[in-house]
Amino acid sequence: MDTHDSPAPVLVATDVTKAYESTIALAGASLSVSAGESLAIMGASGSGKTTLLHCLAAVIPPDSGSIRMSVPGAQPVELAGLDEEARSQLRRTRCGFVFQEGLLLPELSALENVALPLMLTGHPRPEAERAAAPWLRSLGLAGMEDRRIGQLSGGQAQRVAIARAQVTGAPVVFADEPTGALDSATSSDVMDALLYATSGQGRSLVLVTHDAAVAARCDRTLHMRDGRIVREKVAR
Amino acid sequence: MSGSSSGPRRVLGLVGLLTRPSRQGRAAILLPSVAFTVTTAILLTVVSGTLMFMRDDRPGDDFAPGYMVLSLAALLFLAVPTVSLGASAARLSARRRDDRLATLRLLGASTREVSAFTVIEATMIAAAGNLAGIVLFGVLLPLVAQLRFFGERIGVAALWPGWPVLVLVPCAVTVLAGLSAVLGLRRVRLTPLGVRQRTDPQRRSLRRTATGIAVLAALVLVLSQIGMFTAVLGTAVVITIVLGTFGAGLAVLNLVGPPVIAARGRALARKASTPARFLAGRQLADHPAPVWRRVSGLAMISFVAVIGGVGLAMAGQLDENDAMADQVIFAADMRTGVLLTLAIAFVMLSCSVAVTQAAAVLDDAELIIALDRLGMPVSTWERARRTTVLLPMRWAALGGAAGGFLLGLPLMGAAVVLTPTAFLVVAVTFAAGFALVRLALTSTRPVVTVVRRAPDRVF
Ligand SMILES: Nc1ncnc2c1ncn2[C@@H]1O[C@H](COP(=O)(O)OP(=O)(O)O)[C@@H](O)[C@H]1O
Ligand SMILES: [Mg+2]
Repeated sequence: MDTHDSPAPVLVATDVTKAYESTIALAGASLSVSAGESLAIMGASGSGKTTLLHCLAAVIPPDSGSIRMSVPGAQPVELAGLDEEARSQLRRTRCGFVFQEGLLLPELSALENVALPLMLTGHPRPEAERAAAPWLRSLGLAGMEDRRIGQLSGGQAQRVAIARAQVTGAPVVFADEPTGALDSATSSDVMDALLYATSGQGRSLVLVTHDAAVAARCDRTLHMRDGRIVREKVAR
Repeated sequence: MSGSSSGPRRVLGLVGLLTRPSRQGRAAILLPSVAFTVTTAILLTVVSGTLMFMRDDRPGDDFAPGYMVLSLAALLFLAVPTVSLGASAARLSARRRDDRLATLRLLGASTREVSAFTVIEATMIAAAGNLAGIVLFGVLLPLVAQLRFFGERIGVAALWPGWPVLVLVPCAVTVLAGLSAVLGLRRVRLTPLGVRQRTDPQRRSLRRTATGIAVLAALVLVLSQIGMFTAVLGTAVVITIVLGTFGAGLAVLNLVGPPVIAARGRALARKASTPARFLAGRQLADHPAPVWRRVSGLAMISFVAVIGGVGLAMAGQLDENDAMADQVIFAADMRTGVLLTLAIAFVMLSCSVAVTQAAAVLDDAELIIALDRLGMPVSTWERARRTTVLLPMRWAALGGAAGGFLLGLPLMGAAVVLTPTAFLVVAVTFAAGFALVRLALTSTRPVVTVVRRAPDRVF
């Protein structure tokens, strides 16, 4: 099914299913994501995009099927069957996340928000903040390190979230409608930042979006319907 | 406007739809109902007790005013946390509105309809809890009647408050719950996103602390001269002044509490070596007022524990051979009353912590989910949450006790205040308080689990 032959797949999902009580959210979805690739997932509301993203990102376990994550320098991991603890650890170390609303902590400054994932992996705060600062600067937020999230615009907050997704060096970044709450000009800026910070650095990006313009910026677009991948479009 | 005629019916239609368990699970319904049950049962018990002391002619003329004033003081002391427990329970149920807006909009309900429904639901939850509270009171009544006052068991007949009270108290609590739910609709968030206030919190808190200390000093001065007033004003007025001073002391404590918590939070965040302590410190520094409100009950309790402990010490120093029988009985009754009041206050405190914690978890649902996505272990979150409750709690307990000693000393003299009995009561109060609060924290863990397990609807 996957005709895209890039060298090293980071994620390979095969026949993934997931049901919520009587609702079948995923009915056998298969895909693969290569290193450094940006992949957009589109589809109508309720088609299973978020559920697929959550399965790929080890947020929820699939009911059946296989999801293998292979990152350079580590044994491949089968996500299906991992317990909550193991999935949490995997997310901490190998996945980055950007949400629609940013979901940054209002009590923390921009810099501290970006440093938080590093603190969660055991780095002392000063060290974590030193490592976080260049990411903020490279995303055009120099001078805003000490601002609280409430003092940033929507686009700026989303760039802080992107920096936060980068800071641990996660090989895969997952974004669920990262531009969903932004106007189209800001949305384009945020996509610039997101692509620069992911595929621009050799990392993979898996992105769910409603916006065809956003999807067009990615290397590949998958369309979902009723929990299945129904169509694939390769850019260029 | 066109749909306004069908509005009420639609709202009622939603009732059926939404009695299904929501994303937040049953905890968000169960906790407030239990809180209302406790609220009503305790209010009924306390009101019955106060009425008994006011009506009963067993105490002689010398002691009747004493009984009356002390039982009224206990009623007032317990009414505050009881009513605020009811209010926070109502707000907790009201908070479910935001969660539903998204779902219900899809079904074609307007924001107003959802709000109306939420208020109706909160009131219904309160009414159901209050009904159960009457039943619980019925169970408690014969047990409380076993207590000894006036040198004998009180008996159910003496304690029976009468039907009007039995109906009025739960109705009042239900109405109050409805009103609180309306207020709760104005989304009171513990962690509001948005622009920070411009005022410099550090300067303001300094001024507050200074004011607080000045007022406290003035109170101590008034109390140290209280003997002078007795001659002029008569006992009843003086007792009122003393109680008023205690009330003012507690108010000062509530004024000084938040800035102290904020300062501790800043220090904690600055020195934090773990993410849990860092996050907790920032929470405390940024939201000292709601954090303090959650635990201010303990400040009040330990204040009363000190005063009550002093009362017990005084009662204990009574020489049984010299004293009149009435005096001995009054002393024993005071002891029973103090312990009873403290016990009830503890029940209120733990319920209140459970309810406010559940509300805080629901408020922070999005953040909990976001941190969970980032791979923050549950234990880290739980530790942060515990710190945000226990640190202010320690300060509340200490502050309350310090206030009690400070105001108790000029009034009763070091000889009675600094006795082993007084300290014992305080120590037991602290131990019981912390144990109960920990228990209450644990009881809200399922809410966190529910939020983490079924987060898919949030995004
Ligand atoms: N926690 C859940 N409980 C029950 N049903 C759910 C839950 N999460 C998602 N669903 C259902 O699964 C289907 C796919 O949802 P989702 O993956 O969120 O779709 P999308 O992101 O494409 O809008 C929908 O029908 C949705 O209602
Ligand atoms: Mg979605």
